[in-house]
Amino acid sequence: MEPFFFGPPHRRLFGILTRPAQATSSSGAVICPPLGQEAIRSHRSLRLLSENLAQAGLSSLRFDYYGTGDSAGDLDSARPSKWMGDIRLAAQELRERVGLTRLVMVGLRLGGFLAALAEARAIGRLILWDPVTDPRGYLEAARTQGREDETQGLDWLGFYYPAHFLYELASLSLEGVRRVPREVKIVVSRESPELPLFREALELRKARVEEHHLDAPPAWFEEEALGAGAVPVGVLHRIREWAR
Amino acid sequence: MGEMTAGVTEATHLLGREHHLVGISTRPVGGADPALPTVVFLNSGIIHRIGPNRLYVRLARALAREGALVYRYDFSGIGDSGNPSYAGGAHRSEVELREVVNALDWIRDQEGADHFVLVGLCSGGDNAFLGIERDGRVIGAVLLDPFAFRTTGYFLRYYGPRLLNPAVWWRVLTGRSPFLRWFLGQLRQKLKAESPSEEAPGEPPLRDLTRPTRDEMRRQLREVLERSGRLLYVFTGGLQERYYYRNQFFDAFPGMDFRGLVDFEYYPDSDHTFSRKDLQERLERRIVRWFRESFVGTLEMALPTSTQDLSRKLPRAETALGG
Repeated sequence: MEPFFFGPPHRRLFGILTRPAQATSSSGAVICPPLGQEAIRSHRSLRLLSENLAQAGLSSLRFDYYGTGDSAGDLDSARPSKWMGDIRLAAQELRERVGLTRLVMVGLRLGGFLAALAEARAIGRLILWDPVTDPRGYLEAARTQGREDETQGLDWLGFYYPAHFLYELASLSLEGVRRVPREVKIVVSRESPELPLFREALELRKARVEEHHLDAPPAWFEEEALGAGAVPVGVLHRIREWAR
Repeated sequence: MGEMTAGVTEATHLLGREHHLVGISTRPVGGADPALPTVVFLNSGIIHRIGPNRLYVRLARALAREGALVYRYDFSGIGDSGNPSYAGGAHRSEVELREVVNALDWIRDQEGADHFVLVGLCSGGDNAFLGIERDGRVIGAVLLDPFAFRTTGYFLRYYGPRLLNPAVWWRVLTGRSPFLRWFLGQLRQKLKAESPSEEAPGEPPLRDLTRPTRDEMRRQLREVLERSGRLLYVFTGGLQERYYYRNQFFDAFPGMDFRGLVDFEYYPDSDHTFSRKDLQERLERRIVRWFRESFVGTLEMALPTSTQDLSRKLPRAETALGG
């Protein structure tokens, strides 16, 4: 594991690079995490995904968006519309550090949605794991679990999202996106009613989309508040196969 | 460095003798005050170094703004840290204690830090207490919802009202009562302890160092206080099966002289991980106030007159590691 900060001085992002003992692929993976409590719960799964990829000969970079995890800033100063830029920075960092020309991008939950919007350069394949497909629906569900205050900020599962953050997140969509990677693979362990519309939007942008539904526990969800979701080994193996 | 987080800079590290513990340092822009103890956060359960709800990041930055150097890191096998070469045959609590000492040694070597404050929630609090008890360089600890002894007052308050509830009796009669399960578990342990051991001779069972007997903890507390260790205990309403009323901690140690060195808060309105913004803000204010009152400008008074000989108090395997 190689932890480091990267990005411009006004926007330092935390990243952790996992290299294979022996690189057998010219490709690497950028891993885009979910948001808030889902990111904490799935941290272990994403670490294990990195290790799985390393076993298959791939380097991977996990990172935290600005205002989250170990990155600088907090949710008061974070702007979701800037997180696609963070993803592009992470891709550039991985490319430069390891000397790769070809990347795949893996995104879990909100990370999947943001990865689809990122328009990062030279991404051969996009792998979306239980992606959020409609941020408005995502936030509606959050509001039923959380508590809104008088400023319309939302206390949701341990994190406080200010009103301007929620507004900006809700306004993100594929609408203005011109280019998505040619190949998009979606692994689904929890059914989402909005997935067909999202898939259609990707296909309109000339992506070849494949869906795989796996009977696996969701990494980003937990029955008991332990701070850790399950580790769905089958999903990790499937992503490893796709990322090669 | 994380220049954009107001007033602080952050850096990544691989701590420990084997450089396998992933950590982040946070320090004030312009450098930490060398007179202040270095603050080290310890994992809460299996949650990585950002802490539950990113609470450790928030608290680390707040304490760095007070002038302190602060570290957050992952124990081996948690978060991003690798597995150690030395874990075999030791209870997890012993491994984690060794890693606390290992991390403090590393920070001392890198930063010149010689006094520390440990902070942790839940198991992190248990480890923070173990750290201050075993390592004389640790002069303060913040213990958030750590292990607590249940007292007569606890049983009366917690179980008393339940005895009048028919639904509780129904659960007892149908074998679904948590109390009954706990009671039977205790009984089984007692019977097992009294029966001849099935362990191979010469192999004592691994012991959880964070679960001392009450007499042991009384002695440990006394030792910490005798060398002027400062403690801030915070209990919440989030673990009622463990802690249920304000003075439970003090009732567990009747007649104990806390020498004015133990600060204490009970937040019955808070859940275990301080999951609302207002709860996090209140906790941050309380910890910063404790740190300021305990150490800022008063460190000379707070320091022990001499650092204890650490090697005497460490678990055996630590010595084998070569110090």
